[in-house]
Amino acid sequence: MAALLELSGVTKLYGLVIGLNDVQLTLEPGVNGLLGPNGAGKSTLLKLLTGQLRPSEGRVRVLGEDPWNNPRLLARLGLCPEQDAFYDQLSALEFVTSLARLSGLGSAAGERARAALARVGASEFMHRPIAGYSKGMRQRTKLAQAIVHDPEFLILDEPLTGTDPVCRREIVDLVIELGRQGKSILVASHVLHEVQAMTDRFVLMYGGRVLASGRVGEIRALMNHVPHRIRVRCADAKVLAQALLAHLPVDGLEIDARRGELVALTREPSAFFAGFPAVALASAVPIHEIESADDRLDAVFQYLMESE
Amino acid sequence: MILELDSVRKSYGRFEALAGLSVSVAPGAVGLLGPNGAGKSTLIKALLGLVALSSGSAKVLGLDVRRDASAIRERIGYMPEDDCNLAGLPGVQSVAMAGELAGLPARTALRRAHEILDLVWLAEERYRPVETYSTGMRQRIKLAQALIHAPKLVFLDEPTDGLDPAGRVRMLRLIRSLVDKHGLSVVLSTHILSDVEQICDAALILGRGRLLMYDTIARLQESVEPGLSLRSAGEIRPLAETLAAAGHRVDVLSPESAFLHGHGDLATAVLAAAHSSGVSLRELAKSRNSLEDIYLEAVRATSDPVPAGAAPHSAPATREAP
Amino acid sequence: MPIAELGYRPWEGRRTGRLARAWAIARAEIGIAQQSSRLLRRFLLFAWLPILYFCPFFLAFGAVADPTRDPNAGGLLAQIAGSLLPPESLAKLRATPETTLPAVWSLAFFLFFTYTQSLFSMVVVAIVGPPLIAKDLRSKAFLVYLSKPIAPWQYLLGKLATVAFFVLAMTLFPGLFLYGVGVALSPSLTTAANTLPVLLQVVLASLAIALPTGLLVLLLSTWTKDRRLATFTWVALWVFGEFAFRVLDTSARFAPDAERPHWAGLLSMRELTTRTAAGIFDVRGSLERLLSSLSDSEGVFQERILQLAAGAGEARLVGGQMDQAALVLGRDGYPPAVFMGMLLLLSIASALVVLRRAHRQVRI
Repeated sequence: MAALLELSGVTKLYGLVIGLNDVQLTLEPGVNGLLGPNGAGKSTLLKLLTGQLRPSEGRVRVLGEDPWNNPRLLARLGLCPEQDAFYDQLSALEFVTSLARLSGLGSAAGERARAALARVGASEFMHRPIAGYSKGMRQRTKLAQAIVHDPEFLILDEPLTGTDPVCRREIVDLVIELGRQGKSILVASHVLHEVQAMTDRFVLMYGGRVLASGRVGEIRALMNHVPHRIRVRCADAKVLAQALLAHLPVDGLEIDARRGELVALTREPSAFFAGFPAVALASAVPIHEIESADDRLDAVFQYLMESE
Repeated sequence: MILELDSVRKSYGRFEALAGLSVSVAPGAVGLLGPNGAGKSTLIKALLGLVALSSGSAKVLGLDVRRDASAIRERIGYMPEDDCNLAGLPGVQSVAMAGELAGLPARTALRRAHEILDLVWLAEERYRPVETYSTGMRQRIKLAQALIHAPKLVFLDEPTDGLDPAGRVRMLRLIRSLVDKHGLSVVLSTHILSDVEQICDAALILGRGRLLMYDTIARLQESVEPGLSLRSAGEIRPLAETLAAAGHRVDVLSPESAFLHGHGDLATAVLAAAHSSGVSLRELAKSRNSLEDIYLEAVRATSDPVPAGAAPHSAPATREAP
Repeated sequence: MPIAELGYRPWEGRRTGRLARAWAIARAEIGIAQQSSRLLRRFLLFAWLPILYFCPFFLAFGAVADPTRDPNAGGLLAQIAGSLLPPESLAKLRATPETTLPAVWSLAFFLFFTYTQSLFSMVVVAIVGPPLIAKDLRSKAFLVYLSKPIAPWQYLLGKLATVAFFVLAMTLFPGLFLYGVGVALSPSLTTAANTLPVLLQVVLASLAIALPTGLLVLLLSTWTKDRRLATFTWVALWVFGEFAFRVLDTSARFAPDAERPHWAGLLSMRELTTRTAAGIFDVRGSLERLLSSLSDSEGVFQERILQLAAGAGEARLVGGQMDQAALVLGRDGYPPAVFMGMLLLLSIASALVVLRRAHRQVRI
């Protein structure tokens, strides 16, 4: 299968300001998250993918083609942008229909628009003018226009900002569903935990550069020099700590005796987990909870940024 | 009680933004949750005295919103969600002005502005016009102008919006420290449920202008189904089988996760089973409702809201019976 | 000593009063206006130039009206005085300084206010006024303002004080300075005491210019988020109003026995302020007092006085068109009270609309 997208040595400069800095990235089809704080280069990357910008250096390929000046390719892409750019006096149905026509859907435009709006859960309000919509309704309208022409590759830029948890769940479910149907999706966001619900494959960006790409576990495994942190809540932190130090590959310990918590740092997490039950039982310290924060994306991201 | 609402109603024409809200909120950090259109902003505006209630009564810090609106505003701070600022002024001056508007003398306002800006870690930028600020800085300025007059209660509307992860952590820690160390009460209106889980003592959930739920976070998180959730590094099945053989009820949820039903101290049993079955145990946690599940359940069940006219709830009340 | 805590400190002091809060707004806005506009700073200095013109007048008149001075003595002052008035008139004026001095001062201040300072004020208001509320609408500052313990009227007062400050800097401050010069140069303290009413008139006229124009420009500022639109509307109001007035006026002169419709004056902002000032300075009364001290034969001076009167709406053209018409003393159009009333009406209406819009801002 051809790669979904391919960036080779791509740099984008806006005068003095750096958008992307020598980015080398290949993504396979499927659902991918594009993560990074504001200013990391996510919007620049998306604009390059949709042919709105040309790179200052390097090569961009989407579905095997160069997106610049390529309407044929754009017909296979769907973009849900971050900003709102509506004609407020139109209703969502009118808006999406007109955009569908622009995509060349002809007489079927109205039909397809209706279907797309139903898919995103907008049937209830699609006849009302956009001017009165809440943030969640606007997001849904944008999503509808992105999927109305049934694209292969869907690009979503911050689709969940400003939505309430109910709407958020529905959009996440929609994305997962579209992914299951075989569409490729790239979701850009600066809120890590939202994207984790949709996929487990990520691209992490910072300062115009790609820090890492892949599954959380894979990325974490690559960072062996950073010790894993495992938090244990127990009845007697000090005794347990001594036991762990004596018998497990522990590089460091943080103890909060008052709260009955300790954090063990280790570079050999698998050995630690394997040996922990025995050591804990032997120490006879009642254990309340075990938690390894390192599975979480924000921890990984933190490490990546700190080690820069 | 920081808030006492009794059958509060607010209608805009035929649209009922608040439809009979009655609740008494205890001091501390309270998360104000609800879908868009649930009435959260209307409620905050009504408590600030910016919109008049159609009917019912409301008290903030013991003062009536109709009669003592001005006195209320002297004692509360408001950090709006929207980007707003007193244009044309440098940061420190706009915060000082906010203080002067709240009744601080000019010099006091200026020196307190500097203190508060230290608190929200705004450094040299404070001398630049607010228009030149990044999103994160604007958020902090908004917080500063809400705190400068030393209010007893602060309404924060999406305070972590637009902050990077480090900034978000810092902001949440700051808010919590205000509650813990200085005795402020905070009403945190947000869509980010994890923020509420992290720093709030209680959650107030609104839906369609009514009260859906008000309870402490601890009680909300108490699972209906007690037990332990387990995660392994590698296959968890052997562990599950060992536990089952010992008479426990175990559900295997995925190749690496399982749920052990039961009360009491089961951790020891789990560790023993892990040891004997050779499974690496990665996580062991008391089952806990996620706030998100509770929230979604409450909101989706809005066909069954609290009837208007119910007696005001004293807090922390028990969870609403469905 | 115990370690001080950085960061948040509680505060339980005495709160300031309502007016102090309005003044806080005014102070901040005045600072912003001065910093942001170089033109404004230049105008503030420029507004004092007319003083250079009027001072010699007071100087000359002071010398002339001094009964202790020899009327026939030479010197520059006497020459200046002589150019203004014929000798017989001078003698008569010197005879009754108690009545003539205040009359002449009133007229001089009237000229000062309407010919120069009100024009400067219009420009200054156009610079300072339009952004005041428009920028708050744009930056959603109302969310901050109205969640603080201030009432909308205090907000309005603060903004109005900003505009009024600059207008008063154009009118009141130079006016007071001029008054001081006049008092210093007057023959004796008793004559100075006679002119105290003029001081009151100066203060009132300054306020009469400052407050209505301030409220009106704030009204325009409330209606848009773009200050340039408000500026344009403000300038247009003056320009088109004046244009309409002039058209009606000139066309009246062409038609025989036609009269300029009385309401024409209400269209022009300039006329409104001029006629109001005329009423405050009692131009009619001053003129009557002056002319009663002079004989009928003082042609040139009479002409000048009549032209001044025409400017104040106290003289009319009668008997024919254009060149054949002659100026005659008499009320032209509505009495000043009507104009003052109109200004008052505009002020109140503006204030109410601004307050209502301020209230509504937060509902959104």
